[in-house]
Amino acid sequence: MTNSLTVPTTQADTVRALRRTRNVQVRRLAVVLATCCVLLAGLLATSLFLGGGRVVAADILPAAFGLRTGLADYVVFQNRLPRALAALLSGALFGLSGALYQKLIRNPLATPDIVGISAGGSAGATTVLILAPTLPFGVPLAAILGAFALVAAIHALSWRQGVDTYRLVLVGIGLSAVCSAYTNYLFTVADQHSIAAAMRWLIGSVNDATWEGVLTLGLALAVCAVGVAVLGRGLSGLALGDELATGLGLPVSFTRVCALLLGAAAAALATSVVGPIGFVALISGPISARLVGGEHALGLSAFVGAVIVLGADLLAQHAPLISPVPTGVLTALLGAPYFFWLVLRRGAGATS
Amino acid sequence: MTHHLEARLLSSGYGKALIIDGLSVGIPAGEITALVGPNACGKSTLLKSVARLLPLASGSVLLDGADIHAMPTKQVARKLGILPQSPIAPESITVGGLVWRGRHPHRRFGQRRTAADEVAIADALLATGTAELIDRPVDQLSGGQRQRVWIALALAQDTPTLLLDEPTTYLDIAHQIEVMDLLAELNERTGKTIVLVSHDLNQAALYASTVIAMRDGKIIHQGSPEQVITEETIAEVFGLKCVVVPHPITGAPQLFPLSRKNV
Repeated sequence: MTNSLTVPTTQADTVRALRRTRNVQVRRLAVVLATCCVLLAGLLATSLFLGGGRVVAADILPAAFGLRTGLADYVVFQNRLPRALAALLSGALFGLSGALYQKLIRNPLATPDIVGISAGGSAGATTVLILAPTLPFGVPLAAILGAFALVAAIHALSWRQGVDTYRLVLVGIGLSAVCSAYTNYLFTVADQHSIAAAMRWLIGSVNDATWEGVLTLGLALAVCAVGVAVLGRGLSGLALGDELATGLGLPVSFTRVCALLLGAAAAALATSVVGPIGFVALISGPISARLVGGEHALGLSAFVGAVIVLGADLLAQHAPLISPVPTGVLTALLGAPYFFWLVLRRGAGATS
Repeated sequence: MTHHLEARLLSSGYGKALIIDGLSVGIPAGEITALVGPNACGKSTLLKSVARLLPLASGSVLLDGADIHAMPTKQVARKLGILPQSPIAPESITVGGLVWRGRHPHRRFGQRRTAADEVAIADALLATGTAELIDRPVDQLSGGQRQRVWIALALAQDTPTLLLDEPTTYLDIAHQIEVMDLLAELNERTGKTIVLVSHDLNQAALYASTVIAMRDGKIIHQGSPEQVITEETIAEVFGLKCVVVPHPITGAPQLFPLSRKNV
């Protein structure tokens, strides 16, 4: 008989201990995932039901499935539901893209918004919106192209036999400023109508979400989920360092390029629909890692991001005293303290 | 003497600068070989080039007679393992989870963990004395424990040949000997071919059956410790004056450096 306290000394004991450790982790992941799903369902329902008495509660669920007309249809199906779904999906994309970059670059600060990828996406999207607004699928495509251009530029400027994180963050901040300057310049040449539409990229809010935007986000999330699942093993290998990963026979460069582009596309598409909702990309990954450990954190970060943005948007709409404010303001309120904690913890000489 | 790992006219380096130019070497099968030499002599470059971590400028590396750059990299990883000098432990990963990653070359795409994987991981943990750490986060381990866990990962990879880049650097003397004993025992028990880069000539002489001394990207001497660890060779390779005496117990050559005031 063995119990969990004895030191495994035989092969069979060790295999048992291995399985036990694994089962504990899997069980924990399942519990956390289930909790996230319940939270998401609850938040989704709350965001449909909250918001003034102009729609009868009995009409809300049917309206959410498109079965009512008139006011109920407008408020629930055209307004609250796409807004809630946009919050959920964009949160998942922000969370996933942030965790992907943090894992890939091995630095908790290296998220797509901080290294300038999102700014590239915004610049691309604004260009199309102001100069060629009638182009079909122009905005999401331009956002992806802008983000990819930034990935290429950052890669070219900061990759020297591997990544120098300090250089990467500096280059990212510099390029991010260039992109913002370009975006601001576009505003000076645009007409009033285009400016109103493009303002979205400066503030970050799910306020104007449409079904078209939801569709874009849904497709992006589907592609990213499949991509991360396919790349998963390569990504966990890359976390061991390029040399060991190569020694284990993993396609190191291929995995890194795919993951960089995937994360950039996720961040750019989310930004192209709801704008730069700050700090979600930064905090989702570390929160997931704290909940289930580093091995299973990547997938979970999408759920955590979704909970954060959906919850923040509810607060942004309905919280007493401050509401209504843009969603990004709320996530910044939540994320900034975490950010300071991270900086202080690093400053104190802690390593991870 | 059989070689299943061989470099032919190998040239390699970082970027355009060649560290090694036209080097040929055969690694004896089933033995422990130590690569020694002064800093920047190319020993790590040689190890990395042989393990395909660095692209070759020219030449070839043969593993069981086949060019490793012409083989699928995953197939190479089933025959040849390498533990780099500073691998990175991912944040909040357990010992069991880390060692499990060594099984990658044996897994098909999408394949779940098999009983064979579990046995290989268990054997690797037991061989390195890390089974009791199975559910501990790697970032909480001591340096000696961590190094044994990295070796466990390399053992889980289950390759007939294992290359290690300075496996005992940063360890205190007791942990250094513990790691070297572990490698010697593995070599004896399983016949694994082990190649290690070492800065400690005395340990190289104690544990290796072949010592390769390098300088300026070239092999100066290759042979048994008695042939290579001599006062003349140390002076030639390191520019160091020393006396070499036999180890009081094993008889392996051990060197004592001379400082300027001794001469």
